[in-house]
Amino acid sequence: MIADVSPQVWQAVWLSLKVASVATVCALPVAVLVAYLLTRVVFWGRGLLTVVVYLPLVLPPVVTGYALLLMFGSNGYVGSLLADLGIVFAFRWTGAVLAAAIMGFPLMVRAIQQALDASDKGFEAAAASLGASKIICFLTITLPLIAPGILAGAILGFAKALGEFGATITFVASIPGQTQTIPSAIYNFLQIPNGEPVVMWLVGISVLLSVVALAASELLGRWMRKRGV
Amino acid sequence: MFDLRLRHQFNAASLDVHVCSDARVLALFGPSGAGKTSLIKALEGSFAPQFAVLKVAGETLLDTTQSIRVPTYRRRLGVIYQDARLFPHMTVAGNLRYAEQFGRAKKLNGAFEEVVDLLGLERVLHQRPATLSGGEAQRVAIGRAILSQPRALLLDEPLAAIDQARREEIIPYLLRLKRELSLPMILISHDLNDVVRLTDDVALIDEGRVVKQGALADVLANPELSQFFGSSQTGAVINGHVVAHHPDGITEIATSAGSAMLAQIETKVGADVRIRVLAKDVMISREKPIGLSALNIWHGSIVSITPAGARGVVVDLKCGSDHILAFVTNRSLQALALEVGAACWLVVKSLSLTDPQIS
Repeated sequence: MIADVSPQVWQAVWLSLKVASVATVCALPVAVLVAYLLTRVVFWGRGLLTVVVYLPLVLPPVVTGYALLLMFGSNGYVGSLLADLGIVFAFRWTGAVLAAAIMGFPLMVRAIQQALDASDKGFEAAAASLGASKIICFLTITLPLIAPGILAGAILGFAKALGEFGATITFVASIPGQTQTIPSAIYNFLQIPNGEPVVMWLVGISVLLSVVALAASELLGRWMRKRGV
Repeated sequence: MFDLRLRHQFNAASLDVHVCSDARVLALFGPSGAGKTSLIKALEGSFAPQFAVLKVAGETLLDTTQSIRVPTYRRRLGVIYQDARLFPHMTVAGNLRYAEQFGRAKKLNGAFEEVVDLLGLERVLHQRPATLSGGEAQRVAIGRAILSQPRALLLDEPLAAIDQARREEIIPYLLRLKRELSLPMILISHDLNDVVRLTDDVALIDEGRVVKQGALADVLANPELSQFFGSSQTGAVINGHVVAHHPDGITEIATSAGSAMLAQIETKVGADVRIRVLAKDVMISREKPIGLSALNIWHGSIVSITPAGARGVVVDLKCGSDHILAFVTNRSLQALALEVGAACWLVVKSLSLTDPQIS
């Protein structure tokens, strides 16, 4: 049984890593920007933005997935517009990326927001007094000082993306090789008779991936602290 | 140099000040919460008052009547904060280079080395801010501000977070800065000693109003301000120059009142110095005193007698061209029959005259 399905197992693992990595890399810059807006800039609609950002955290994932399907599906509002440009999310791995990014986004924003709140605004004021414009100040002072927070946000977002199930399966289903990530593969194999050994494999790989991610973040964090950030 | 007008209504307090000075170093002196920091924040650009016209070295930085508002990063004011605020993710050299890089498009050759030398930073250049002492950090902050080529320096209680011993380490550098750079400075302080040592003009601020402003010697010699300074801090400042260092450990300083003798100081012969004579340390005698251990006995005449509290008065005496203030109890006032115009002798122990400063 295991030998028969091993390509499907490795496909799921590879796809999960790809989806989680791409989702994290794409969502992180946006998360930094949104966190900066929410902590440092006073503007109209700040409350609304907060609600929108944190909504996926509190909504049932299936609801988020269904909303994505309505908006980004091939008949959806945004989906049909993007389809004209050649960008398709529905039932593609890119859709799994979108779902994972949206589900991980609030966790990223929250970690970065906390880092921004904790970082001393005095350094930014000092940089401005030395002649650094807002953008220079952000790039040279704020960003390096909140780097540990950004790292924490990235790890959280990546872990969330690896484990994301509800929104993904609702939005892009579970097509082997296309949208079947580790969690949906586990769910699939639980439905088949004698699927447990495969499930055990997938569970073992999940645990391994989580441990590696945690260790990597710990090492990176240590290195940052050593640099005096 | 500075023409600062500002009005603002806070919830519980109001601020209404007009400070004007042509001196190189202007001190804003007053108790905490008087409004000094609001003024600095408005200058720096982190506080927007309801009304303000702020001019520094001929440049208008903020004018609410004409909607002029230069953004903070173009104001070119080197601010030195109480807590130094060195960027923790850069070395000392990195902090200094940062100012050089973003301060102004044109980089001055050799400025970096000059500032490092001026502030004695060579030894700490490659250290991280976290490893510096409070005094060292503050020196780096000053160097960083200078390298941004500001039009003026704002020193917001630069010594408040530093203990006395470390202060003595920084003040010579600040004096050197004042001597060697033609850079206007505003010093915020609630310590009169720092003000006396560093500044030329002073504005006294209390409860959001300017109580008095003008040249340091004039303001400090104003007997009416004794209530503001309190009985321990009231005292005039006299100027002079070092005449000789005597072998018995006494330094002689020529002033318009006569020779001032004090415990030996390190200032070179011929250098100008500023001596603070606290009113509580001055004794008055109607006869020329003889057989006293006190080394400073000057002659003067009473210009005014101002009540100060329930028990005494502040006597303003003119000695040569200088004014000296003396606290006298009501009992002595009666016993000596002191009155305006009366000639007196003033007695000051040499040990009471400490810490003169190069002016």
